[in-house]
Amino acid sequence: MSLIGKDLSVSELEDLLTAVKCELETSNEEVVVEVTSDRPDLFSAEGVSRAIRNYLGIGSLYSFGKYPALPIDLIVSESVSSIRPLIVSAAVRGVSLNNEALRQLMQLQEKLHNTYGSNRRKASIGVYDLDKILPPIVYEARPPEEIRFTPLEHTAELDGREILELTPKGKEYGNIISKSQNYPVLIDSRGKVLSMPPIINSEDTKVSETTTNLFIDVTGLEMRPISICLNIMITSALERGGSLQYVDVRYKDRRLRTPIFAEHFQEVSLSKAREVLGLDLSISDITSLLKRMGYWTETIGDEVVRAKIPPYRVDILHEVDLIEDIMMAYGLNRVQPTFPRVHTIGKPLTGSRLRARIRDLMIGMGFVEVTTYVLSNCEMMVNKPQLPKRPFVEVVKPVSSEYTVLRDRLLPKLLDFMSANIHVEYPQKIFEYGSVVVIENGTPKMSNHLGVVASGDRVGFEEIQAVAFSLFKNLSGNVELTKASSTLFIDGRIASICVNGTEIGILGEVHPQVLVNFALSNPAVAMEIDFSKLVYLESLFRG
Amino acid sequence: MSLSQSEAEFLDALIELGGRADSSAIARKMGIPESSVFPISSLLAQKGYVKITEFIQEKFFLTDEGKYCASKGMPETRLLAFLREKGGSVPLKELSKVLKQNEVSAVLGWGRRTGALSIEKKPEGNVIILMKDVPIYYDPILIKIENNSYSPDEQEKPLLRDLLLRGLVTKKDHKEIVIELVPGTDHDRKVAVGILTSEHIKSGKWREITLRPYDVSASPPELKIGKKHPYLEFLEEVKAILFSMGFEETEGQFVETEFWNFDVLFQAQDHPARAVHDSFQVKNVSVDIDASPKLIESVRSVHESGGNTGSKGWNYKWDMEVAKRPLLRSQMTVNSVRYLDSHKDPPVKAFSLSKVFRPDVIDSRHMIEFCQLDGIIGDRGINVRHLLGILQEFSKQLGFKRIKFRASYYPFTEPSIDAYVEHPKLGWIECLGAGMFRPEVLGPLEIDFPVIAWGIGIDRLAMIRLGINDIRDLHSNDLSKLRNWGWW
Repeated sequence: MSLIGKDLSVSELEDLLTAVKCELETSNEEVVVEVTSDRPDLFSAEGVSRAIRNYLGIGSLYSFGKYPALPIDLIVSESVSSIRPLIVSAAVRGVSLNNEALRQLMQLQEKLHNTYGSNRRKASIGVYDLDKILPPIVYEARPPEEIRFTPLEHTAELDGREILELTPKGKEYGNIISKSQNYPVLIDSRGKVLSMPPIINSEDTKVSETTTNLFIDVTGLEMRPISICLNIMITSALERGGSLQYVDVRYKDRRLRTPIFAEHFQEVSLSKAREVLGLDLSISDITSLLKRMGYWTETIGDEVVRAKIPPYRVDILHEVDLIEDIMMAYGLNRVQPTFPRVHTIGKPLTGSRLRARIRDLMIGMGFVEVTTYVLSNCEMMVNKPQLPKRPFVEVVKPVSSEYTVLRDRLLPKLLDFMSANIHVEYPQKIFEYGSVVVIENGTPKMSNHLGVVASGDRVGFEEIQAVAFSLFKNLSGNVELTKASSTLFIDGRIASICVNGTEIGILGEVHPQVLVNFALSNPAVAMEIDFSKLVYLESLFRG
Repeated sequence: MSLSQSEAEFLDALIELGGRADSSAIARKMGIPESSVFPISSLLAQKGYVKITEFIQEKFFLTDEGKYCASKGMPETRLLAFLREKGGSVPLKELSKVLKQNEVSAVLGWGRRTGALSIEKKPEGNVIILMKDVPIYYDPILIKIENNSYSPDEQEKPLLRDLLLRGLVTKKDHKEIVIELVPGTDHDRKVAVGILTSEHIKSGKWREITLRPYDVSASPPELKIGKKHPYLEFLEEVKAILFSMGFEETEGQFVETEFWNFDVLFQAQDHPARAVHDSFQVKNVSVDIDASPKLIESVRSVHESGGNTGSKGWNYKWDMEVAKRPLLRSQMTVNSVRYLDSHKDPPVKAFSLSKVFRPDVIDSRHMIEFCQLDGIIGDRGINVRHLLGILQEFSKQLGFKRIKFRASYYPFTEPSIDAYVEHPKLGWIECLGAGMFRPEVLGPLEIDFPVIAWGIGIDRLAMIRLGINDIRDLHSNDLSKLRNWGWW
């Protein structure tokens, strides 16, 4: 509350949080807030309080103090260029930190690591007590055995390799640098190691409640994520008082002054805002609404408002982003919903009528409809049904050995279904009408199949034959069965299904070995038909 | 006392069998399994129509060895015939011509006991000699047992015991019930008829007979009927609402390219959602990117610099190789933008409702394969109020009376909105995500009118409607649950 500067009840707080795009999760002693990933400025209490303050009009618009001293020098050695080439950095002087402020800072650091930092790979943040550092600072790469310091929360000095092997952080993030011969380090002018990014800082430079001067660096691979992380860290720290001291990052061929708080502006036109929101807004409405969202604005003519984007708003790419802020400031639940008068004709997918007809016919023949997952595995698709090995659309990183490939037919899934129901009363008759993906010439092709299985004490070939004939008789198709072979079925009791001259499926008595593989002890008959080849039948119905 | 239909049929069958019959005879007559006879007859006994006598009967069966002897003759029968054929004596070692190894000792024992055989030592080896012709009574018994026409006879008991001991015959206790009509109760049966037959109708005899009333409160047998899957029926219902609102259905492919799944939707290539653990990349296939060179170029420039959309873009180097990677589609909006690519004139109203795939920890609330609904409306003059309007109307059609909104974030829409609907028991449920497509999405597709897009995690609503608590039960593989699923 001290950050907001006003006492609020829980329900007031909840409404305010919703208004600034946060969601209140729980509020006991502690308030837990859920934030969307586009707004890293709301990842900490400082940022959320700033948004609420702006919304309530408490205090002035965003500004910060500049520390009246030259920037700190940070020299980047060429040795990091092939490992972790980029660094940005800044210092905050005269900050006052209590226990909670420290906790927020660490939490913000972790959230940025997990999102914009891609688990430290793309950006990793270091926070230090500046008073324990003697600038200028050097960012370079060294052989691991030449790196020695006491890592954070440790008591003894370790070398680079030991840090990767022995410390928890080293084990967790070590793979980001372990393939390089040299590891990146930050060292100060006395040769003291400050940190080994992206793994760990030194115990020496640890920040505590008594720290008043902060030094922050972000290393990484690309400028955008590391700049975002630095801007968010610095603007949040500055909410705890203090002033900014810049850092001059000196690469071999250029000098970069960071943080890059470039003045940047976004214009929004009155007509566009009215068009997108459907609200009858005036230009002064827009300026006052934008002010509530923390923007300094100026009007250009009577049509355009120019907003200055604070350095922590990394999500503003386009005028529509400001329009969303205008909508939020206006209050979304004040916007009157209107049903759109867009007249069009509703239309089902081609193939829907055929699908509906087939399902009705199968139900009429006493089959229970089932729906199984498209994801499957080779054991179920190849080994158990004794089908030939073949390529599948296969997931590169499966989360479960049960779901590794896309099914290319339905019968194995249906037999698996039956094997989960061996204690349910027989006879059992099931069908599924669903999508499968087959690979044709290296390209995945999706089609709709009908799979049918009947099982019981005395089922035989004729029964499934009768289903096929009844089905196609009622679909105005002429079905013909011809001899076929498949190890899924009993030899001599399997046939290809041809309709109007096109071969579209198979039916037969399931091979006893396959039944055994699926732990089934009753005979079963089955049929599978590729109906994507018969979608033209739909036109027959319309006749 | 009234009877159920099956009880009446039972009494008819019993009368035709002469008022007394055992369970197997009645089962045959009625064409029902013997196991069904007992429950019906005991109900009839309770009502006083029949008397049941239960007794245990020994039944005899041939073992495999017994079946062999029934067809070839008993070992002693075979041996005597052989001896007679050979003139009364045979060397012991030739016995294997008519006897199996395991039969020899039993036969010799019998021969000794009855005095039919004796063995003499000769220089060329032991010889077996027929002393006298003894009658053998075993064979007819075996044949009778085989033909199921054997009934035990006091005299034959020792013979049967021999056969049991020699392992040629086994016995089992068989429970048999005999059902008798109770005299007097069949009085009304003579005039009342259980079953109305076509003969009654054709002959006009139905005018003379009385059809006996049934116990209409008795439970009938259960039918195993065919039925549609309740989850798929719910999806059909949702589609019907959308058709009535003028939406056209579209469907794409499970296997998409990152280009359509992410790049066209303005999701930066380094966006965390594109990391390998947040979508399913696939192998063994290559997928054509299926986009005009112009679209690809526009997408590249909108990512890198905002292109000509007035956006700042993501400010990085866009990589075609990343865009080409095949994956399992992770949301249904991919179908909506594909639809827009081929429908560039307003108005457009389309939806798709099918499966998407996302890595996750599988538990009662998360499955890696689930259904999503995505809808779009595009026309000149469409704005945020219409977006709220369509969400309100659609949720009303689904039976939710109240809805509330809050600002949210989706990479491809701005403004972005989440909607909550109120459920009488569960309270506010977050289930709709929506927004207006960003200029960075519409620009490259050359769509010059605003488009609102909205999506629903339809599985959450299906669970509420079907009253289930585990998302995996939507694809339940429990057949008895499906058979017994009631109205929802």
